[in-house]
Amino acid sequence: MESTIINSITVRVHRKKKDCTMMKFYVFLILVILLLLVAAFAPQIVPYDPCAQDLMNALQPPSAEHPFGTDRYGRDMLSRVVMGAQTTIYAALLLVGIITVFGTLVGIFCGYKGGKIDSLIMRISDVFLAFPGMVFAIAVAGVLGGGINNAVVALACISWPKFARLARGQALSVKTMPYIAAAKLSGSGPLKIVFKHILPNITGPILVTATLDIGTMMMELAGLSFLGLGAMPPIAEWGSMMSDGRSMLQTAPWVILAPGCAIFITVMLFNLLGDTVRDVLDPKTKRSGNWRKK
Amino acid sequence: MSAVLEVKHLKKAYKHDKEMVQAVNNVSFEINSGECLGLVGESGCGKSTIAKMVTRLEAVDEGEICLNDWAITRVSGKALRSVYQQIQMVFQMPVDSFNPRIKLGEGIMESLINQGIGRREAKAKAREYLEICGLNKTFAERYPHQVSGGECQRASIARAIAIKPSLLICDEATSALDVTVQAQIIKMLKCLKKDLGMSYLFISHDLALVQEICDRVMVMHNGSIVEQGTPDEIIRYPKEDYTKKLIDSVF
Ligand SMILES: Nc1ncnc2c1ncn2[C@@H]1O[C@H](COP(=O)(O)OP(=O)(O)OP(=O)(O)O)[C@@H](O)[C@H]1O
Ligand SMILES: [Mg+2]
Repeated sequence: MESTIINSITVRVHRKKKDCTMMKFYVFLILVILLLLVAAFAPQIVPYDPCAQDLMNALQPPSAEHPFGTDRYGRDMLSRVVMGAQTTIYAALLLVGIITVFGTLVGIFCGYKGGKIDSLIMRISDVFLAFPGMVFAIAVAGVLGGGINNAVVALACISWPKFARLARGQALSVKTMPYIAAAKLSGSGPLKIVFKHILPNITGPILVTATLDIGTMMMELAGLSFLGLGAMPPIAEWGSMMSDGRSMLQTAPWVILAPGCAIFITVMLFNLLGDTVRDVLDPKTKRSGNWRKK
Repeated sequence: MSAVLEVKHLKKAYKHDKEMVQAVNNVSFEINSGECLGLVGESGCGKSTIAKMVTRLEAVDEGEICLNDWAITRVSGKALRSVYQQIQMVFQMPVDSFNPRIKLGEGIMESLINQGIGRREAKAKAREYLEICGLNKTFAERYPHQVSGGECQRASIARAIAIKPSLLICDEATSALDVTVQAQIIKMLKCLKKDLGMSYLFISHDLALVQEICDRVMVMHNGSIVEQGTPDEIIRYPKEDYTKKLIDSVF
């Protein structure tokens, strides 16, 4: 009797927690989708041409006409921030996409295959991890020359090992499961085993890491742009916009605050989404079937 | 009678804290076609290890395995995959032997599809075999965590017999089933044996069950076969002390 009451209470608490997690997940998802829509349709929604210079109106403080003020060439900051969303988010998603797919494939291959090839590739990834990441990225971006795509390549070079290690560890643990042995007994070849049996069982943690990494990658891209190795002027990009405005922090703070806040909010949003993705995928808040897990 | 499976001087050692532990030590036996060979022994004596080596899921340290006069000890790749058209296994832990993200029906279809059977036909066959094992066709659409341990075990048997192997290894295949379902499965296994001439390596700790289904029994202790003979011989007139102890502890 008592235990059933306690049970029902725990069940209720659990359900409440799960509902709350799902709520949070949907809220953040909708916000992120809104952000993506803004980025996708940036050219259509900007009030001014983000590259049009108007030297007569340079460094205007925020007003009704220019809600975020203007920069030193008289360009509308709101338009530039909105356009910048497109550049920054496109680059960050591209980067995270590349390193997730590449790192995961390499990691699964190593974990499944094992042996010498595995050791070799893992030592290579150790080398990449041993470099101070940003310095290496600066060097690569310097060699490749500026441009947002080269910045993506440079950061991809230093970031894939993280995903390779994660995927490898996961693949190693899934590989020993009896259902992999059963798949072999069914006569399935290595490709089928990897893509049908291993990959679907390790996507959870990889997805979470990828989502959390979107924010980090945005910061690093902005960092490279800040140093002049990312997006090339006059393209609007948050990092390079901050770099442009840094000498005017005291006289015209809006020039640096607008892209700064944009980075802050976007990174936070993606991180919050990543955290809730983790909660949603967490077995304790999952919908069913956990009673069998020991 | 020709031998479906011939195992000669099989050895396997595992490393535990820098010490090699001999899990299987010089085991030889053969299974004739249409024969059911029982394998009994206490927990940890190496029964599952033998099963895994015979199915080549575990590397063989030493010894030789012949399946229908084909030395399969070292085959790999495509050849190994065609070995699995002749040999199947029901795993000791049925729930873990199904991919949690794939429906049971889909899991059973996999081996059929790998044999070149079309999806439609494979699907129908999967349902047919589920039904043979006493599960109605709705089970094909369920995930492993949505069925009970016993139901999963039956699905696992359905998967193993669906491609009609010449040798079926049952590693505690009926341990999670109650007596009535167990009787039904045993009846089905006997039918398959009679109709298709299927052979079995029947690993179990249930001596009564072994007596019921097996033509011959091997008693295993610490990685070696200590005694073999017909079930009646072994149970009524055990020669070795270990066998006596094992039988005393069960009956
Ligand atoms: N992968 C492994 N690594 C190391 N040791 C192992 C491994 N698999 C099995 N062993 C050891 O080998 C011995 C035989 O194990 P096995 O699984 O064959 O026992 P079993 O006879 O099937 O027992 P049970 O009746 O409990 O299933 C055990 O002592 C076990 O600890
Ligand atoms: Mg066992």
